[in-house]
Amino acid sequence: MHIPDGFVSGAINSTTAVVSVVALAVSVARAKRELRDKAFAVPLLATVAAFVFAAQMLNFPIGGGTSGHFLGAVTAAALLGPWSACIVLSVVLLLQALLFGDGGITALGSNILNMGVVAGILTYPLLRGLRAVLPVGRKGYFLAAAVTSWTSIVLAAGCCAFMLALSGTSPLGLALPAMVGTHAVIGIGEALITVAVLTAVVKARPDIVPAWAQLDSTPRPRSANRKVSGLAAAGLVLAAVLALFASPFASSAPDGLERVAEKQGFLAAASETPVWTRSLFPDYRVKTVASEQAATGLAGLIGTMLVFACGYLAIRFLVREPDTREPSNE
Amino acid sequence: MSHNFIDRFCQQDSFVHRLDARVKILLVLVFLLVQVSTPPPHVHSFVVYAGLLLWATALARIPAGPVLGRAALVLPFSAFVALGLPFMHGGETVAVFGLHLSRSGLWLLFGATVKAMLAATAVILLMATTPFGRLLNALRHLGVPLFFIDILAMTQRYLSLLMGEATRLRRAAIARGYAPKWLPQSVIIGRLAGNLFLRSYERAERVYGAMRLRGYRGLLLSTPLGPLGRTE
Repeated sequence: MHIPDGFVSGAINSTTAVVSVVALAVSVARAKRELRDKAFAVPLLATVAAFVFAAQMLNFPIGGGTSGHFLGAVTAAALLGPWSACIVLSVVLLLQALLFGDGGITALGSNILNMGVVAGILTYPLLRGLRAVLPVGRKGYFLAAAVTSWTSIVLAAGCCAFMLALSGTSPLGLALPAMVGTHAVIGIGEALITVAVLTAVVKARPDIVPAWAQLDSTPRPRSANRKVSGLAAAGLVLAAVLALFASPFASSAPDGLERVAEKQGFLAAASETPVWTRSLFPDYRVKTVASEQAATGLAGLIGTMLVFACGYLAIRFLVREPDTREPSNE
Repeated sequence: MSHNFIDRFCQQDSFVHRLDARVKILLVLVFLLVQVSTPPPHVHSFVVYAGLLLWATALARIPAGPVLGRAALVLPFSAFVALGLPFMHGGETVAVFGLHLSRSGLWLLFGATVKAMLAATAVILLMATTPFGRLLNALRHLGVPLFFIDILAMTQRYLSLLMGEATRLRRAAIARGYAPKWLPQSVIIGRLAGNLFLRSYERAERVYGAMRLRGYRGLLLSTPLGPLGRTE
């Protein structure tokens, strides 16, 4: 999944580089605040980065004589938190590009976005959400970690395919199924390894797993509020995955209303006098993007996010929480 | 996959080795940006780029063979692009071995592969003529935050150690008859990785303790760099 130089266009590389730098700056600020012992941050993040690097050398078979390797984003996120995970993955990617020629320097922004930001940070709400929904305890925790790490691989691979398609390097109709297909299998290996690593750590050093401290003590009833926000987070990630990956391949046949309109002959009338002349995404496509399917997927993703943001804000303003419990920022 | 390969050449001496690391980093960055944004049909510019790299390699007295071998890592990605060739909607087609391939697609494949190889060679050249410590120091003086520099420095220091440990764990598993054929067997790899994580975490704790004893309070010290000389 490490994109070399020359495979992704300059426009994409510079955009992703800006996004990645911003994400890294935020990650450093948040990670410094979250880590208990600030001075311990450097040796801790460095050894975990070296661990991720070394663990990526351990190939596992995926059948047919080929092999995949571990990514470690969700492992790092589960053990250190999403912000530190993003820093760790970025350090690993930079060193891989410099020392091993694995991934390009100009493509570093894209690679960090895929494997650090998407796989490390963006899947974290899913982990939290699943843990809130699944039963408390060992099984729930490991199941949540497994599902999240599978998702992280597939999402990162999907984003990689999108970058290749948007650059015109490989058509999306080929890149997306090929990348997502192989990584759906590699993701299973990732899930197995993540769970095995977490099991080992929980057994030997439960004190360093942040979530375990709460899990291991007597299970207390969670507030309904947390459960709902967890469900919302999981739903959002799922919707984003669907929008990104499924929408380009949705049927292009007219939907029910359009079909009736066509039969009755008022579709032409409708398209001649548009109600909204300056739609953001005409026909669900981002205009500036060359590849048709990539454009549809992107529009789907942005649309999903916008709808979620609107819904979230509406609920925040309309539903007033009773201020009886301890003050929380949720 | 040992990175001593590159380190080995850092100890040599040549004009390129003596050049200030800041200048080398900027030169490589400019080279990368220019060559990556060259349109593929400009074959002569790629010849010039390759010539520049060869000249620099000769100037640094580094054998070209191993460098090229390392740069060949990009080939799997090229295969991925080649897979998409027949589907490219690029007007003209060219018959290759009885297959009708799109001309624009072939240019794309050629361009991406050559660019990736050239870029990898340039980076290898930079790394082979600059000791890692000096590179980091230069990066710091180019404005990279100290927090990152410290993490990079320590990661690099523990990298070969942990990679050695990973290799030993794997070898031990193989010696006990581990010959994985299908996916569920990767649980074993997971256990190795878990073991490796615990070892590295506890190493971090020990190292941190030792660092505290020596007066570490959060940031490592770095040597200041002198002004740029005339050669640069």
